[in-house]
Order: sequence, then structure tokens, then C-alpha cells
Amino acid sequence: MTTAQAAQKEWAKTTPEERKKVIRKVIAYLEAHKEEIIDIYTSETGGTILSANIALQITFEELEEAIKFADEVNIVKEVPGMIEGKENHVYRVPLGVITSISPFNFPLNLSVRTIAPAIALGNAVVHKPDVATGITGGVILTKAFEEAGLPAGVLNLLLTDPKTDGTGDYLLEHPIPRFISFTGSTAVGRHVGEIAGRNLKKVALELGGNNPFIVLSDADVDRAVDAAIFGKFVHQGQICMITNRIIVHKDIADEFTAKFVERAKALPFGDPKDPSTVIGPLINERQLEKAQAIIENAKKAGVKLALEGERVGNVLTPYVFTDVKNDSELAQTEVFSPVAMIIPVGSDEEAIKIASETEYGLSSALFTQNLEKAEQFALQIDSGVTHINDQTVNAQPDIPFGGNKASGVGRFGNPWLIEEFTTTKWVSVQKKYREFPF
Amino acid sequence: MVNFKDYTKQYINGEWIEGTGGKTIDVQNPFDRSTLYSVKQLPLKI
Repeated sequence: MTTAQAAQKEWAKTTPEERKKVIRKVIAYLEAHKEEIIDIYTSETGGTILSANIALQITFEELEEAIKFADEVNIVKEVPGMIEGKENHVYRVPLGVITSISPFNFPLNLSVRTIAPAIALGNAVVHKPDVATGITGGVILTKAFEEAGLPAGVLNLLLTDPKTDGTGDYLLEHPIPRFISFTGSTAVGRHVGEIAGRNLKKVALELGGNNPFIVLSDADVDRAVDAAIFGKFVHQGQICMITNRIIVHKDIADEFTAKFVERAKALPFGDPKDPSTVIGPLINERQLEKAQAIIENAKKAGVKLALEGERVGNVLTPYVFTDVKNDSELAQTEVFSPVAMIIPVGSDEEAIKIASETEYGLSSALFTQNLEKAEQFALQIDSGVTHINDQTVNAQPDIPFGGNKASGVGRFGNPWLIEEFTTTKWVSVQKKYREFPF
Repeated sequence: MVNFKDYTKQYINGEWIEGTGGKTIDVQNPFDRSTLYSVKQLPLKI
């Protein structure tokens, strides 16, 4: 930590052009090693080739956006003084050392979205990816920054598991980092937030979701089915912004369900290295067992199955539950697996109302042909994001991304991260003798 | 070509270093559960 702190002080003195040059070289490195990256991505995360390409594409977009961040620090704004003879200079300066903790599910882009802007803004980073995806979440980017000439100590990588390495909360409690960027489960996020609060550190917490996909009575059913299939099953459903609840107006629920089930049961599954595979394995046995327990509990509770999947090796094929109640245990659970649930409702207004009836508030989607009504409905949903006539999984580095309620605090994206990863310094200069009242 | 498995180590202050006293973690391929690589954890508090 002390070496990161020392390295940051020097890095903060570099020019925007020097920082941009490093990031451009990172992009070139990743471009040159795309094949190896896709190969290790599919081996390590279980993600399909399609998923690997999505992750890489988002990573390149995040890096291109990070280049723009380099101009946004060490700038000074002059503010006229209210006291005669006083000049005010407000500096935007780097925060210092930033702790970054990223998850197993989309490790490459969920790591770069913290690392690249933080470094572009003159900070140092101590990065700890989930050790289950240590290469995709850490080694690739670290190697790229090393080859790009980033000075020693500015980016540090810890491949470790604090639950077993004996360090416990040491990384979170350490006094040097001024910011903790955490993406992962809500349970761990609450713990990170508690420690950050106690130690007066800033945080960005991007946590779980129970994202609704709403199909209103006037929706184009075929388009909605196409979108829901992607939004539910991409990366085997292991994404924080994945579609969790599909809420459908009762007038079109039967048609939607029949078409959705037909598409879901035809999705190719198996080896993620096979280019035709859509559903690959879940990350580990623990996640498989969790998904299977959710399925068994729903079946015991009498929830109707329209499609019963199965475990094939370490792959879980799609399940579709229907006639689900929004207040049921199933509907209130973030399933994080290829398990879909369809909730029929009596009116469009009811659909919008129950969309927010969850502890989470990350992403949401809404299908309708009435775009004016759609925007009004979108604003009523308590989530950080709503996509109209699209599904819940979208990322763009110059848009604010983050959740409400138990989905976290803070926003990623340019320019919102500038506020998160920098601070201000007020320097005033009294140029005339100031008279004091006593 | 780069073999990223050669760098499954800690990267601290510009150096790739092995953990020396902590537990070793075997990272598995999710599809076939074969061991992809092993990482020696850091024993020290950095």
C-alpha cells in the first residue's frame, strides 16, 4: 500500500498526454492478444465465445472513454472572491489510492471500468478480482498496463481470497486507499459499505438485481420474446442486470409464454468453446447447487413449470416457471442462473407497480408500442436504468450506470466517475491586506 | 502469443511475485472442472 501511495504521487504529476499514451498502448495490447483472451475467457469463466466478444467490446469502449478522463484532473477553476483582494482557485485533484474488487461473472469489463478511469485520473489502484477468474479479472489488464509502460506501483494485483488467506478485512480497513469500488453480491456489498463508513472512505457499490422485464398489453410479442430470450439467458443468467422477472399483461401472457418456451428449449448448450453454444456452465458447484435449490423450493411451493430444464454435466439448461406471484419466494430471489419466471398481471398499471416491489433497483425493461406512455412508466420504476423496447442488459461508458436500494450506491460512467475518483482542493490567495473585525 | 497462465501471481510494485506462505488455490475450468492453474496466496499484509 505504501508503494502504491508513493507511486501515485509521481503518477499524478504526469501530463494528460502521458496518461493517454499508456491507455492507448493498453488498447493495442488487448487488440494484439484477442485470440488468447477469448481462449482463456471461455476456459476460466465458462462464458461462451459470444459472451467473451461482448466483454472485449465493452472493455475497448471503456478504455476509449478512459482516454477522455485524462483531461479532467489537475485542472483549476477560478472563482471570484467575496472578500476584497481574495482570489479562489479550485483544483480538481486525484483521490490517491483506490481499492478495486471485481466479481467472477463479467470480470474483464467489470474490472476495467474502475481501473482505467482511476488511472487516467491520476490515481493508483490496488485491484483484487475474484480469484476464481483471476486471469480474466486481473492478469490480462495488469499485463496490458505493464507492457504499456505504466510505472511500477500504479497498478497492483492481488490474486487472493481474504476468507482463506488470513487477511480478512485488512484490505478494506487499510487507511491508505481513499475509495473502495466493489462489484458483487448485496450481502458482501453491505459489509464493504459498513467498513467504508466506519473508516470514512468513499465507495461505489454495484450489487445485485431483481430486474423486471415488463411486457405491456400493446407490445409486439415477437420482439419482446426475442429480447427476453437474450436478456434472460446471456452468460447463463449470471449478470447483475440480467432479466429476473418477466411481467406480462394477461391478455398476451399465453402467447408470450408459448413463444418464449419454444425459443428457450431450442437454445444450444454445452461447451463454451463451441461457437454455437449459447448456454455454458455456471461458474462453480456452489452456484449450481444454489440454482438447483431455488428450483426445488419453487417446485415444492407448487409453482407451475412450463419448461423443465436439467443439469447436464456442469451446465444447467433453461427452466421456465409460469403463473408466478410477485410476492412469492421465487420472484423475490435473484436467481443468477438460466431460470426464467413469468408473472401475469391484470393491467399495465399493475405491471409497473409490481416492477418496483423488490428490495433491488438496478435495471429494468419495458415493451410497448406507445413510446410516450413508456417514458412516463419508465420514470415510475424504482431502478437506476430502464430500457424501452429492449432488454435489461446494456452497458455504455458515457452513461451513468448504477442501482437504487439494495442494488448499490454510486454511478459508473463518464463524467459521473470523475466526482467519485477525484476530490477538490480550494486554494485562496489574499492579494490585499485583509482587515479583520478584531 | 502470450500465455496468461504464466502470470497467475501477485503483481506488486511492478513485479510478478509468488505468494510464499499462504494457501494455494486451484482454479477450475467451470465446464469440465479440470484445474486450469494454481495460485499461491499472499501470506503478508501488504
